[in-house]
Amino acid sequence: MNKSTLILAFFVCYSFLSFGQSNNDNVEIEWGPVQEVSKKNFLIKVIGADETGIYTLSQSKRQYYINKLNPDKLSLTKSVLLETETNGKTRIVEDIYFLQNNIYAHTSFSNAKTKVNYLFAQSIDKTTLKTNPQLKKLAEINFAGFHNRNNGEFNFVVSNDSTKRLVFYNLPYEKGEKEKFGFHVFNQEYELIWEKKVTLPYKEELFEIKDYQLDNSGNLHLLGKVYRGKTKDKSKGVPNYSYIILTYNAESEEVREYPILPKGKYLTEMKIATDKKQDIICAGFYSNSSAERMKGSYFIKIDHATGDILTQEYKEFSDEFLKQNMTEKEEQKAQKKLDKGKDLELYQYDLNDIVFKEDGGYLLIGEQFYIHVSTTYTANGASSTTYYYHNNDIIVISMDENGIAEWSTMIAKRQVTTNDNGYYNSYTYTYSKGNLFFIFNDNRDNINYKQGDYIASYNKDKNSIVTLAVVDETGKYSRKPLFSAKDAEVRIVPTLSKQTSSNTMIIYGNKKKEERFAKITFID
Amino acid sequence: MKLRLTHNIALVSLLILVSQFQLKAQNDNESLFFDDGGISEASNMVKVGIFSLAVGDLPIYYEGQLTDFISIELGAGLQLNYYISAPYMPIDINPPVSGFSLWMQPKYHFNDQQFYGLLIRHRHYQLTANDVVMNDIAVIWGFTYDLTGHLIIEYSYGIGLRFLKDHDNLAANTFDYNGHKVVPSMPISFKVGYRF
Repeated sequence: MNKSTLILAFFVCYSFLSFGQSNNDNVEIEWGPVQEVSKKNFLIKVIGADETGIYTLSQSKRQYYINKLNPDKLSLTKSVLLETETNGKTRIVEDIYFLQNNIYAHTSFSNAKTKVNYLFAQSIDKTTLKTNPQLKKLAEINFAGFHNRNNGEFNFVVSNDSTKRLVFYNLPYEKGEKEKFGFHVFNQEYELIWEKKVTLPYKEELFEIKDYQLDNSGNLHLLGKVYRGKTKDKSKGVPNYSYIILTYNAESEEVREYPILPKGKYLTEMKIATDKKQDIICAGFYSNSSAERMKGSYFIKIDHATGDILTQEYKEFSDEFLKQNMTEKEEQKAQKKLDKGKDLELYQYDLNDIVFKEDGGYLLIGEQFYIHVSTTYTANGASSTTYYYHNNDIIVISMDENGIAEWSTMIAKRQVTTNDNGYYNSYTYTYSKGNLFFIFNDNRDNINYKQGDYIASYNKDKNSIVTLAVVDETGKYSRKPLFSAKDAEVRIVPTLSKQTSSNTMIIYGNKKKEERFAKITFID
Repeated sequence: MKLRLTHNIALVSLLILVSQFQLKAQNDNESLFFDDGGISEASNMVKVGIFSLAVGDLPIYYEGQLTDFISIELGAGLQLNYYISAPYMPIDINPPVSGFSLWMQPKYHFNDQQFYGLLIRHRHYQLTANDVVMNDIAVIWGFTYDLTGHLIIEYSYGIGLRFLKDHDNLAANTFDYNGHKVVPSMPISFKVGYRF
């Protein structure tokens, strides 16, 4: 028995002293029972939770089910088919939302005769799990003159204070036409506050909507990527695109435009948010050489009232940060590169979130993600294609309220799975009392991982573990195993986890025909 | 007192009536949203081949949806008094007097627009001297495009084998199978259909 096995065995004994509950310094885990489910039934999302229950959405073939779990025992208490038929016509389930302790279903129906795509909302009773038969029409997209499949797409976001709701949709278009979209802003009762249809001065193929936010006053802020002439990131050695923030004001017809001028830099990943003062925050990464690489972080803050740019900051990553998780050999290689005057850069990172810190600052959270496709040929000419899903290191960049970078840290993680869309990869996290808690599937060989060690790859192995990484408010990070997949009897699906209060999270795991939920409470 | 009771009853009745009208108005709205002339529920289709006449074929097809992914297409038609052969495998059977054709194609719809099919086609040509029978079996890839409302257009092509009986006017490099001449078959079709 090697050292890591002994440590794991000790950890398992420690964490399962009492049935269904375990503690691990910062966290308390309460497990629900292992429940049998049909192989064709799979969880779509944890909708939300309150003292009455935990509500989930699952799908079996083409039918959707609303499920209720006991909030303490985490066992299934009720499952009801989501009714989507009206007048014999079936609506498409767009999504289910948990808004201010109520559940709402958003469904759509595309009428091929009138060429109108309708979006509806209806409430779901938390006791019976039945949908209210009265449909509230939220928006419609007229696609007359277009193919039935070019009928638009509805998206939905909620303001930070949950008082406003936005339905956003792209309008149908022909190639070469200007980018068109529409939106409706509602209050918490789904009463329309205002709506607008917009035609931008950019051709549809040369404009990409990257992100949008609804602020607490019901104004829409949209982040777009504008290409010059061709949909190419690079042209004649310089960036062929720029970003623009467009603000649509509820009170007036005014549209404000804020071009982001990166001065020869490639702005790679960008996100938009609004802070407590309703000022517009736009943050992301930049590179000196390509749109897939990252040399540092970027931050811009715009005064919501005057439209003035309050802050605009670029901060290059330090060499120490870029070399943080490198092995000795990798570090030597990187140093040689630096000695030759070349840049060290990160590559293929997604910016996933902007988190508002309690002290008024910001945290940027990103993850390295890419897909590698490999095709092999046998002697008789047959071919086989394998998709490798890589979800690697997590980066956290802390900024103060003026966007000045304070610290950066990188959590070592390597996950490579094949032909599964990376279902068990990536991470889930909670921000609580200044600490970030990350949870992800990990290789058991990383139990004793220390900075600079080789990080073993998670590949859905039966002996894998689930790791908790905690980043404190100074940027220091520690990691420890939470539990093993063997003892949990399921593999957790991090992306299907849901933060249900300031310090609790519901996680979901499955294995063949079984599933299991757990409640994780983060302790200060 | 009695007057007040009558007044209350009248008021309640009026309220019920108004609420029923409101409910009806709501239902009417919903009817408007969902009245698509039955297009979304349509699981049957009749089709005609656009270019079949050009090659001496006059078939009509029916397609019924069996499940969300599986359908079956059946067709029958008359052979006209002319025949234009496929350029890749000339077969001289002019002039036919008459004839008939039968068509069956189970389909697997792997998305809303595209399908794979297995085509089994039988054609019987009555000539003045003798009869010619052609049986085709082919794997098909096809695409369905919704025009507007109930109308659709469908094109498909495939590759397979054609078995000919009682026909000697074929190239020497064909091979025989169970009394049939066997040649390659590459069926192409364009159809216009009506969904109901």
